[in-house]
Amino acid sequence: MLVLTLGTMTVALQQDLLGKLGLMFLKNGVYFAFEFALDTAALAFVAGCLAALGRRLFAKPDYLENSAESYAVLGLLLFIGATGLLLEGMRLAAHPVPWGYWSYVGSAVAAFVPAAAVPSIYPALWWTHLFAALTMIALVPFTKLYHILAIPVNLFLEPVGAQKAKLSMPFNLMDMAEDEESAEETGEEEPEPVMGFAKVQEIDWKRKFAIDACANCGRCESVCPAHAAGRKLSPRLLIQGLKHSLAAGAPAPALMKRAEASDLILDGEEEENLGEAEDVFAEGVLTEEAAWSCVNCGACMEECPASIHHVEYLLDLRRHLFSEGRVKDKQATLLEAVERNGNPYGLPSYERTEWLLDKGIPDIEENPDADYIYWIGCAGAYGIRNQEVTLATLRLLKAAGINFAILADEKCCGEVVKRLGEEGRFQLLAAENVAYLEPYADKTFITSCPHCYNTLKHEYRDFGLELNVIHHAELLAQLLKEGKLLLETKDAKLAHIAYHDPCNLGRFNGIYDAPRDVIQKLPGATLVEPEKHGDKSFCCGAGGGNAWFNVEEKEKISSIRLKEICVSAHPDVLAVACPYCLAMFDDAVKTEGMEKTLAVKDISELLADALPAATEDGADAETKAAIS
Amino acid sequence: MDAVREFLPFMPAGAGAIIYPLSILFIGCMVYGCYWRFQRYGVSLRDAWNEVRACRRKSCAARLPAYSTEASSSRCSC
Repeated sequence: MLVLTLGTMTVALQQDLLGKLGLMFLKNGVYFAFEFALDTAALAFVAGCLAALGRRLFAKPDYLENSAESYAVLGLLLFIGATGLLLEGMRLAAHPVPWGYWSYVGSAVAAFVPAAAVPSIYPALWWTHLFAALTMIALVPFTKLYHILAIPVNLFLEPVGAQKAKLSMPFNLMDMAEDEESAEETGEEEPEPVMGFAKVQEIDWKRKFAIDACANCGRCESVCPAHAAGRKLSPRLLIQGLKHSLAAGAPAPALMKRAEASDLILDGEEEENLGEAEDVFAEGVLTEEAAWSCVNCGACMEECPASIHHVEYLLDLRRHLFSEGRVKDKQATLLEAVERNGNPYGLPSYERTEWLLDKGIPDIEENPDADYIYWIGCAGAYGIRNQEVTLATLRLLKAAGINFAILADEKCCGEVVKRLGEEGRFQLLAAENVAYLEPYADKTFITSCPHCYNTLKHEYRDFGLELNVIHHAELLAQLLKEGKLLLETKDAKLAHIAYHDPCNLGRFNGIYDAPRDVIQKLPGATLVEPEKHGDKSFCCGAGGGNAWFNVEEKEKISSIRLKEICVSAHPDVLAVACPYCLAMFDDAVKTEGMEKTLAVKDISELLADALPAATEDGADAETKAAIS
Repeated sequence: MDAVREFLPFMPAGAGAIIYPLSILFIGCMVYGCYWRFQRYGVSLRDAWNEVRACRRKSCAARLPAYSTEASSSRCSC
């Protein structure tokens, strides 16, 4: 469309200005190429419109919404394209030219146009074409065509170096405490923290603009794991709901009804009281259940051509629920556990590292010269299955001669607290952790948990702590590359290994190659890729705090993903690099009865299993004995 | 051959006198529509522009952090 618009403007420029000044540039070869390019563009435009129309009529995906406006806009575009080609065909039919083949579409149309009819029809059609094109331009801000302008502008507004990994920090408790002190001194009013939003009018203009840029294309919905699992969440309807509220300045019951029609939000008697249902908030845009259903995987943001940050809106809506005290028991219990015990498991804090210290793993006070600090993470410390991953990783570090230590007083990094929307509690926890970690800021932190990785690396920057953090996949790949980890190649079992990209590692931090490098170095291993991999990976269902509570769904997200991996890659082993993915898939394998056909393992376990006996019995024999 | 000579016989009479005012009118509608729509965002064009300029300068200079630590905006580093 842009090419055609610019082409028309170029002809007008030459016709009415440059041509009269004798400055001809659309002539001979340039003109023929121009004609060819515009004909090709027009053909593609008309074909595109027809394909879009056919898709809506005959092969409509579930996420695509058919409305009168959609058909009207599409019809108008098709009319403009078709009449443009017809006009060219009429011109060539009335006055055939030897170079007509450059306008190959127009020439083809001309074959069907009776030359005698051209003088009487051409002017009327020309004016109609012109009015249609100008009408389309005028309608842009008032219809869904607005996205043509809004999306490029929204992409321009995207901050330079923006990261999907980093969530917003709506207030800073430290700064607020300072402001409070100065307010007391000056007698001014204390600033109120911003806790999410209850109405779209409460958010800043850039985020309103982003909402308005939504083209309702449905790509976000098509990749949303929560939606695929039949949960009551659709990122598309969320943004469209907010857009509706923004336009109307009022609740969006119509949208709720539409959602109900697609079995998304409410059912039964609640339909009668859409706007008043207890579960509904944010002007009827969302239900509480839907707000807790998001797994924060970022697939919607990755897919969105308008660069809308769906997760940020959902997070703000969760924050609002917290500010209103509308929290379910499970979430409340989880947060209490983190606050009281420093871990979401609710287990005693001393148990976090005691079992490792008992095995002779050095604490930083014992080994202050350590180059690396191994950040165990809650799952690696308390999860029975994930403790095996921790041990495997530590064995590998020992085998490679890495000088490392752990932190005896480590506690939860707070990721789950932030993702649940309890910003204040997260900031208190983060501030505490930052004060504890600051003396070790010159060391490199190794994590096995991508959630911890993300939080330590990105979120703690807001508290002034820049840590050098690496995921164990990165370190292991590096050690293999440097030849510091020698693997046993004799009697290696042949295995097809599929790797599942964890959202926090892959999509958020771009670490795709390191874990694959590790797998490819495993003796006897063949890496097989599931259909959804890399930045198109599909969440295991644990993100956004969902590992800790259940929401209503038709099928478990982990089961959907597991089946997809098995069908598309046929692996013997499913390799992961995240403790939550491991726990979710372990559970899914049992649920699906695949225990005998598929093993779920962390890449560190696979690598540790491939260590030669000599390495295990040699340098780190003592540690291995203790660890095993 | 050139565009002017090929197109000239087919331009409806008087088109030039109408087409430009008409185009300006319709494009004006679009510009006004955009302004009308922008008013929903609750910010003046001048303030928005100043914020964008300041924001991009800061994020270009600092690169990180990408998101606000000071304001409620999550889409800007300023």
